[in-house]
Amino acid sequence: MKKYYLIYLTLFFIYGRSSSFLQYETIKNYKVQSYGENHTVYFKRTYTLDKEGRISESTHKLLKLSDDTKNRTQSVNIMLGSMDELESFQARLIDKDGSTVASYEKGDLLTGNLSSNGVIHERTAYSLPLGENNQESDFVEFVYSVKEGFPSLGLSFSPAEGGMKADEAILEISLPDSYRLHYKSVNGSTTPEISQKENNTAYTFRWTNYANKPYSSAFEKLNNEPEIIASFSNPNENTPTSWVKFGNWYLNLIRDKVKPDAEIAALAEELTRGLTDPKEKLDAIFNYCQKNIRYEQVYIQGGEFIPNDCSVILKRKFGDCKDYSAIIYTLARCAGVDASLALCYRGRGVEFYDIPASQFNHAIVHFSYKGKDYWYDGTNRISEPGVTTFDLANQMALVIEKDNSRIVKIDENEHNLFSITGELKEAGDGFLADLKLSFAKQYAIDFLYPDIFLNRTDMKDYITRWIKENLSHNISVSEMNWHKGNDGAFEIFLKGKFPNSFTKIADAYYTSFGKMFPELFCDGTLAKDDELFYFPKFNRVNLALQISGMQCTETAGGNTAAALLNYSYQLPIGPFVTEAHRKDFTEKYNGIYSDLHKKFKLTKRTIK
Amino acid sequence: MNLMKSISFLVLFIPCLLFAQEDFTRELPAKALVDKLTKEKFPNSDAIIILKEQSFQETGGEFFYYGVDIPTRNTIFTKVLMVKLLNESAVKRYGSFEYEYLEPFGDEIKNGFVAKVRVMKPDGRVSVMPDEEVKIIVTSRDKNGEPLMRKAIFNVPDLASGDVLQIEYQAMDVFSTSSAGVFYYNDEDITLISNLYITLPAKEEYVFKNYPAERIGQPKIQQISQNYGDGETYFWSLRSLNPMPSEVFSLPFSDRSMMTCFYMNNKYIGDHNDWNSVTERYFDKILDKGSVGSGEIELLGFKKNEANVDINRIDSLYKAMRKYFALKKKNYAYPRMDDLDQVFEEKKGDATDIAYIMYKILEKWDLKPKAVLVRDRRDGKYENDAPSMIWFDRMAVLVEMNGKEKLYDFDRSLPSVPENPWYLNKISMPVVSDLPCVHKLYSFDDRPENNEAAEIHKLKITGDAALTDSLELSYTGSLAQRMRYKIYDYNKGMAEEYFKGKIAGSLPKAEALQLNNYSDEGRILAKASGKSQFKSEVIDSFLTVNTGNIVLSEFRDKLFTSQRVNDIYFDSPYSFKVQYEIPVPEGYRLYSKLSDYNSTSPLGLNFSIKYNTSGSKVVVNAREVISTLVYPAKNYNDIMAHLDNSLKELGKDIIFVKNSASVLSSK
Repeated sequence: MKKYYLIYLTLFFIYGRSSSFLQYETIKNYKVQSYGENHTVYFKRTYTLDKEGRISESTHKLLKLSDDTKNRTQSVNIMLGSMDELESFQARLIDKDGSTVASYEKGDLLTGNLSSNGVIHERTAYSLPLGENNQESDFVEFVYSVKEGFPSLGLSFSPAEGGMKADEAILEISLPDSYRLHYKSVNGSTTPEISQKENNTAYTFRWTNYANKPYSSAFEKLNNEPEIIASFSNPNENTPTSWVKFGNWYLNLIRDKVKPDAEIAALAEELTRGLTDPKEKLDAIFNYCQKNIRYEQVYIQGGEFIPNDCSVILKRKFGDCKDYSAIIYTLARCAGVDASLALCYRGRGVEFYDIPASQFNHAIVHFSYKGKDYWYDGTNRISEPGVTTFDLANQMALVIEKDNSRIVKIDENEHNLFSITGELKEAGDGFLADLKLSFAKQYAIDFLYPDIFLNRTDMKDYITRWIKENLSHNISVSEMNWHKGNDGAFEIFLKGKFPNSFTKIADAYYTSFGKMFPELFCDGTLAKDDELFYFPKFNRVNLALQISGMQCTETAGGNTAAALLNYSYQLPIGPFVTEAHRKDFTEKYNGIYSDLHKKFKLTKRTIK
Repeated sequence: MNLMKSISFLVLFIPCLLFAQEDFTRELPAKALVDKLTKEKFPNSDAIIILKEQSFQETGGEFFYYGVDIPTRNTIFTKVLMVKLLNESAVKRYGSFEYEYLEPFGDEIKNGFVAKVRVMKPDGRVSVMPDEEVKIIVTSRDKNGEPLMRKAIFNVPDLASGDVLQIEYQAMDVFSTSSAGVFYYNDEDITLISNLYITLPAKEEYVFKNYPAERIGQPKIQQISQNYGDGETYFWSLRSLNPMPSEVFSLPFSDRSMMTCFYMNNKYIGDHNDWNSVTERYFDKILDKGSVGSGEIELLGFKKNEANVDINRIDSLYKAMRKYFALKKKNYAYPRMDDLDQVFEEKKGDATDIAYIMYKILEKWDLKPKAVLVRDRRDGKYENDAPSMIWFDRMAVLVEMNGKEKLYDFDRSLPSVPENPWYLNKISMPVVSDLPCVHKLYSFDDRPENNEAAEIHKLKITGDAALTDSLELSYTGSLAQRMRYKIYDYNKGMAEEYFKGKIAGSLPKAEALQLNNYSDEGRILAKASGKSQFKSEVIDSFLTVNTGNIVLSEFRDKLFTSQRVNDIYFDSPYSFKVQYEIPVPEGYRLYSKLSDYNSTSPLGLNFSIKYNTSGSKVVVNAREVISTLVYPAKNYNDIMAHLDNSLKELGKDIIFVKNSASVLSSK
């Protein structure tokens, strides 16, 4: 009896475990090239929504191991969020002949915590060591399912998960019939096949020979992922899925975290004492928080999404963007200021706000006052109240208010300005320069923050490197000073050499702003239309230089009397999402590029 | 049950400091002192360490395990750090804490960690960090869920620039294998007081060594109790120590910091303080044991008994092993000799694992290989008068054939074809297999041309005066080895992206980038072509070409700092070669009068440019040669001035003029 039981168990083990795997006939039909690295041959992810709105996720992958030992994984890795739960896992190693060399179960997985470099978080990394008998070019196939503890609204998907190319990738979203799918394909060319499975409708997206688009232009979107953004709505409900629902859901999620206690209320009162104007109150709260709370990441229990408790943030005086926003928001509410939390994306890369699915990586605070929007980002540590970093300019944010959550544009600050003024003097192979660089408003933050962060030597290094990368690699700085100027500006004073900053032909010196500051603008070649997304440099610039001991002749423009070289320009920064945006930008860009490279013909001033 | 009782007894009665007490071991400094340490007085410092105190305590004990009393050695390491933070960088650096430690016995017998932290504000207020802020997490578990490693991690609450931070932590290793240690007095920041306590059982014999001995001096010794055999504490205290910031091209921290090391010298258990006993013990415990099976040798493509093996055959074995095994980043001095089958299965091991396998194979082939212990220039030198295993992180294999010796080191820097590693040049290594132990000086004649970064641009000028480029970028010798180490883990795509980043200044949109098989070749070579970032402009009847460069600018930028603190130690002599081929545009002739240029700085750096203007193209050959390896920090500005001048010369316009224009050539 025992013997039959064992045979039964063995058969069950083999058959049961194999049932969800691909047949070898299928595997061997994949035309797998040698890539010199691990490669995804087959990747299928299925999201299934139940009637209660819970999402479960299953993944089926077939990897081909690299034929290069050092580029080959020795393990299969899965990373889950702190609220996700791994329900099942099975894997097998298949050799070139199609034989299953080894089988693995959930119990074979090793787990580890990902906290490192001072970032405390509880995301879990699962790792499956492949162990014995794995050879170059073997296949590893694994299937796992995850119960998402966190009922996120919507989903995003990239076929190149883990940075690997995929020969075949499939995304299947299975919804109860009463639900409807809303999706956006990043490249605009993917449409799903629709099929019925029992009481569900399955939407299946497919890609073949998928690879992440390589980054090829400075004007390009910084984030090419995900490929699909999707959300779903239930037509039985009166309100379709929307940002309003998303906002209400998020507010409900964090409601306990932003409840003020007596200490917070007292602090709010203290910080706003004597102030009557709501913006002044919020400014005072913001100033206190950015000065007294330092930036640290602590992700515990859903911390990727949920801030720490406000009383804890205040006690610890550290936190990340969610924590800054939560404490500013809570203090503001205590002080009677009607500020709101807002979610946005730092960096230039996401423009799919017509689909109400989570696509944010940053939290700030919004305040609408006297018809104007103000944005407060405590993580800047030193900036003016209401001014965000420049990479948020013209980005969209989800302002979260009960029953009124909405997408709002974070306007570029109209007073942003980078100006270069000063004097140049001919000295053999190039100019000697005595310059003042001034950065106003959003531009200043890139310097104000390092200035509190770094010691004097490190700050000098930082500025010198910045000058080389953003003005000219040829500049050799001999003296430098800097300070915080009026109205939140940052000013740098520098003396140095600009070797090869003009071309000397006979007795004339030919130069241009482009020759002196080759890194200030971009290379003259614009990206292809589909890569043109934003302008990566300063878009509001003023140049005013005096070339001492020289005069500018009529032939090359400029001021003929005193060798004063002046030029100012403004450009839209993007995002350029329509043909009209791109056309407008291209015209302006070409004009400015041409102006910046217009030659000034200089000759030595003759003393009469 | 007995087991658990023994463990409880052991854990409870191990003498400890922080584990047993409520208070901090050190008082906070006087406010008057703290107030003097300001950002204005120390503008180039992130922080001032008021006290750095390290304490190492070793205690013996017995562990009752299944009826047998096992002698044990337990160690407690305590560190007290009191630091005034002068900016946010220091807040970030000191305010986030991590300490990872092994758990060799899983949850059955836990090692221990405890930390106490407090902050003194500028107004004198003191806040103590609650114990619950210290999170101890399992970072790695085995298949049964037993912890393999733990990490203590915390962020200090309410910490700001201007505060004084005191961190006291203690790590207890319950079954320590250590009877030696190295302790460094200096730190990254200025250190006002640096103390070291070492408490060891009096019945053992230990040797202490200080470097430099004259600066550190003799310790004060105190017996911790009057009972016979109880330990003695040795105490050193140093004051006002210079900061030791990390800088490129400088000696490793361990070679710059003052330090004390100790090791056991107990003739009864075979721990003698001479190199013979150190290497003999390694031979007996490691090299004389274990073997590699014939099946495993066959996996590498070789036979169990190879006959007539010459040096080429051994090179082939090295190559096969490099291709078969991936190398781990971190090395340990002792191989996994009992798990060699697992090393083969995983196809991954550290340098010692793989060297040990090679040693065993060569031994099977009757080649009488030797093993050497390695501490290379990246980690610092070992002290010849302190014979101990504490210095070394790996073994390598030395083969003698036909009167010539060859070293086989398994390092991520090296290609699978054996070549001289820069980090071993002029380094001594104790040879394990010889008695008496000899220290082999590894030395090779290194020349700048062996360590070259070179770029060759073949430019073309298109109709609208735009430039296209066909570029070859290559690295050899130490420059290639450093790079290979950095990109060892990169897959093909990542490596291509890395090189695309390198050439972006001259070819921002490389159409296709080809990399050679740099894992198997000494030279790393990247080829790309496309529209060039270099500038070509038309001014009236003239056409100018202005080029940039990759390798020399890259080197200059890497070396750049506003304030050099450490002396400069280059890995090797260097050569940076930049070559351009610029065709004379149709309808134009050369206007610039190009004269060869040569500049030798008083420090011996040499830069030269040679022009060849014959034929239909201009060929520019520039080379920067750095022959000297060591320069005092005071020479830093002169080196940079020389490099800036080289770059200026290299960046000059080359001007062509229309054939139809009636102008004279440039002067």
